[in-house]
Amino acid sequence: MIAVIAGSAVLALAVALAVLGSRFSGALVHAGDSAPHRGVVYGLAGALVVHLLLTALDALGISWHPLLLAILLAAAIGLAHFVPPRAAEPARLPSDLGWGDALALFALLVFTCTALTLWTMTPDFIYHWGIKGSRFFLHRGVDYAWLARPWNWVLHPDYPNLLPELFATSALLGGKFEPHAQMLWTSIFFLLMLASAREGLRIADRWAGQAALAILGLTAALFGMGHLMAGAADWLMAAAFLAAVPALLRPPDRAGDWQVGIAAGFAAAAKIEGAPFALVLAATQLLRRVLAERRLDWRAALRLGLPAAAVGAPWLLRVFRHHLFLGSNSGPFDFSRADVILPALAEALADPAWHGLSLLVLLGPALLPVRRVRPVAAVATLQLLFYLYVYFTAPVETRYYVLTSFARLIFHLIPALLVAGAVAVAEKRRSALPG
Amino acid sequence: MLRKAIPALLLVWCTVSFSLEMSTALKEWDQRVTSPRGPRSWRFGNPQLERLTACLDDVRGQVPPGSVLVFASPSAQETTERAAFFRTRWAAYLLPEHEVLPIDDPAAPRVAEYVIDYRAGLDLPRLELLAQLRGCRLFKVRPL
Repeated sequence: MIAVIAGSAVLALAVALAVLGSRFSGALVHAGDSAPHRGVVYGLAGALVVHLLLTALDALGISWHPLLLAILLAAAIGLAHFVPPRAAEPARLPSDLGWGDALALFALLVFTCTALTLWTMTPDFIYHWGIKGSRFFLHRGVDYAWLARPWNWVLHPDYPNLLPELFATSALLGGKFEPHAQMLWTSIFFLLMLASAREGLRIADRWAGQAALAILGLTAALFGMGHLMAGAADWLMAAAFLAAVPALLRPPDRAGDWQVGIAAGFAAAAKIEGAPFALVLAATQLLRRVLAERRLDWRAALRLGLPAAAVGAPWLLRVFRHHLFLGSNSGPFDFSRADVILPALAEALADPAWHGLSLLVLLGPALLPVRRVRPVAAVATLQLLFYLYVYFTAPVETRYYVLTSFARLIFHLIPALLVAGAVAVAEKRRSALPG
Repeated sequence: MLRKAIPALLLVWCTVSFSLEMSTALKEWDQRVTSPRGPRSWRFGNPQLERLTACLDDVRGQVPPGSVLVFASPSAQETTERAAFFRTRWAAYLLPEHEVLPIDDPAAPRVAEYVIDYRAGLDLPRLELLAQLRGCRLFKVRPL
């Protein structure tokens, strides 16, 4: 019974986040966006608003009382009505569900079943995300004093806290921190990934789109089960990248800027590597605008940079104020580590949980020549280069570091690259057609 | 032709791999009570973890929330396994209302209020036995 209440609280909070985000539909939505993708953008935007709200409560020293959270959430949804909306074209639910949708949803369902038993729960839920969520639930706020304890360096105290905040908030609304229920967040982000992928794949032809969606769903589920990924924050990164893909695949526009900006902010709030990802994502869209318009549009830059800046500034302030930044994050570039890194990368790519599909990460550089998907390929390639850079600089045992992280980090990129790959094939086919 | 064949092959590969992972997860789930996993790979349902949980449930009843607990457990033969380290991480997760740190932490002698001896066989002069619990012993730490 407790698990049912806790699970309902997770689902209710997720819906509330989407409703909150939908209040900004006038700015966030492109006329042709489908209902599922709109749901993704609304969900991410709502999560960012709540994250900023919780950050403000922490800064003011106000405890996260469940009643206060419920009132604030309701007030935010109500007040957002007064944000002048430009009525977005009504969205229709997809009526063209196909076999690819069915396979992907089946994979999600199976993964969810294994996640709810905690059998595919990531060990990082114990060592990092879950313990933080549980502590913040008890503390009714981000417990910076606890994070700053010298022995808590193992918890990555310098990471952004969006996921533990979602855990803690839903636990506060449900009355108990229940790990089974918290696994639902992973399934929700998995679902968001599928919704965004579907949107991006609308450009591809019907069969290829359905095949790519099925491949994506099966790949995420099989890696999620094999590598034990339930409860990890890596789903948020993958969901953020995929949420930006539809905007990156069409010519730059105002709503697309907001969508990319929101995705960047969401990634920056999710993980420490989300900060460089946000920078790469926003800069890529801005560069597209500059190239298309031959001028720098400052308003576009604001749309792209504001969400990540709003998330990143208070995070950095807290990290430095509480001395949370770990020395193991950065060091001098050491090229001689290549002898260790390259074999370790090969070993990580051969991780059995990927079943060889890890090689799809090479689609990043491979798709750079394809004009239509170049922005997606560029973001993936730059982020991949960033991960490699970290391996050459972080003052930790390099081989262990690569082996324990690389297979998981490429999960941020592969789902978006699968969509880009299918779109690239469709583009090639179109260009090969006569006339 | 190739444009359909490659995605089709990839789809078949993914379906087979997915089925394998699903069956592995089910098989391991069925064997969870006999799994010989070390603390690094513990999962909920493993008896090793249930033994630790029983000990920590008893600790919860003996120690006021917010206390600083030092956790001691035996190291594994294999140093890469880091058994004591990962057991402490589990203990910290299972006792989120407390501060939990490993016995080899430099701050431990200074800040410890209680020590949980999880089969480590501690015999230290500052420790005063508080309770013999399920699978572990709880000590109060005498001030320096």
